[in-house]
Amino acid sequence: MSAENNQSCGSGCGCHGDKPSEPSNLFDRRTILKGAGATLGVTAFAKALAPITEWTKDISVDEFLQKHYKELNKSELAAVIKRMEKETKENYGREVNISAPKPQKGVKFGYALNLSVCNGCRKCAEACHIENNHDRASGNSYIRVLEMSKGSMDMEHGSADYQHPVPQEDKFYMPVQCQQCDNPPCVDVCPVEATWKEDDGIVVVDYNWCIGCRYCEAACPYHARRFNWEKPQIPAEEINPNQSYLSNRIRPQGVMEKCTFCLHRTREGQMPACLEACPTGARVFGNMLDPNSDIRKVLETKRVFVLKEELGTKPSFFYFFD
Amino acid sequence: MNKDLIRKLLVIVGVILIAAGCAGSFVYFSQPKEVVEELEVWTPGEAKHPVYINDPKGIAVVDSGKRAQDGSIIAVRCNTCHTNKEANHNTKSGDELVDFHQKMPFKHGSLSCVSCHNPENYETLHLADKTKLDFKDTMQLCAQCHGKKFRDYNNGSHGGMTGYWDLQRGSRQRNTCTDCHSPHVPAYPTVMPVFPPKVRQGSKLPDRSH
Repeated sequence: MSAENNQSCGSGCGCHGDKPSEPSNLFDRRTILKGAGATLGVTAFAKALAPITEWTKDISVDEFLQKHYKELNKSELAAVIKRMEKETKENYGREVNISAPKPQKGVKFGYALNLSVCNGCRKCAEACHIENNHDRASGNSYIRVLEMSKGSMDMEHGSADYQHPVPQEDKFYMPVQCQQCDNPPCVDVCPVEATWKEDDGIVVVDYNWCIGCRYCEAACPYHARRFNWEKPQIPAEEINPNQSYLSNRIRPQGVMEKCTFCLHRTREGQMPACLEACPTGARVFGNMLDPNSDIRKVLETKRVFVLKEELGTKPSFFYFFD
Repeated sequence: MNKDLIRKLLVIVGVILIAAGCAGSFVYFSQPKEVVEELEVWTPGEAKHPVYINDPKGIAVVDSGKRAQDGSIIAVRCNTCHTNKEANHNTKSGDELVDFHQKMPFKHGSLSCVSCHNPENYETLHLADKTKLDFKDTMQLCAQCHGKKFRDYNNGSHGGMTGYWDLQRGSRQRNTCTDCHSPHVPAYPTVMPVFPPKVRQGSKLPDRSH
């Protein structure tokens, strides 16, 4: 054998290096298997890309190519807002007015809550739901009111789903919303810088830049962040038409959102909706840099404390007992 | 490589770099300057808008329990009876009342009726030092004993408000004491909470009733 096939490898495996190769047959087993595998792969690839065709129904080219809010100049921002107002009219059937109020120098918002007075009625949570155009079906709100047992300030042991006459004798009630931290963990972890802290203390989200990874939701120790699992559904007559780009315009599906201290109201000098709804007057809001403001008087005369101080988030939301 | 070649290379590289530098700065400086918007400045100042406090309405009357033909309340002015009756300074509860507004609920510490009501003119009130007060000044009477709460109210941390935090831009509306606290049974009532948190389909609320 070795004398005749001196070009074969000599291992006796049967390869015939010296024989002329057979004409390749298009329908031999190997090519057919390769073809079938390739077809399967291409089909799977096309199916995987299918959601993109659905996304194009919801998102326009302008929105896809939109720049980050902080990079928009005045005319670009005006064009974006006009497009959004038009889209809201088409999708929800309501004329809305989207503003973009800027923070003012010399203003830093602070919020205080009187735990001796809060009776857990949750009217603040309801007012937030209405003011911020939340999805009606999910009953979303930025505020969670926790029923806490006296003796502990541990948020994790509070119960948010009580349904009995309030206030109960042995409990106190603690509404928790975004604390607008001075050292916000949510801003640190955002991979695309879709959220940032503005000059007047409010931490905001550019909903069109957010990619919906929910990392900020994981980072927030106060569970202040909410995610839009579905496209918000709100009847046209219930929509609050007084909106702004960074706060309560109707969010698209798949983005994060949070309490913005109603910046569309507070930057115009008004009270946030939760404060106006509180029937017991447990909430105090104002400009911490104004020495005559209510919030300064609370900070100066009451024993205020913050939640989870040991985490170093430096909240702008203070709690006190009378 | 001989010195000549190195020199030529250096000259070429230098020329290219200088040319690139010139072109780049030309492009950079010819672009229109972006206008950086200056932020408005807010300064603390005099309040330009008032704070409105609700007034207890009109003359004090008592619901007689009867209704007129159109359903409206028939109310009786206090002095209808109290100008021709001797005031009983010891009455401390609604159970002791005999002729009118009997069994009126009253739960306000150990006060008697005339602690607040002026026995000489039941359509006014009086402070502890017998100073006469009209009903529209009820807050002053409450503040006489509940001074700390009144101080907190003035500082904005009691009683709530609607309107503007910035009185330079808008006004504020506030409650008076009797808007939330009935003077005879001032304890704030228990209420049912609204807007319960919803649960996702299929999941159960955790049991945290301990």
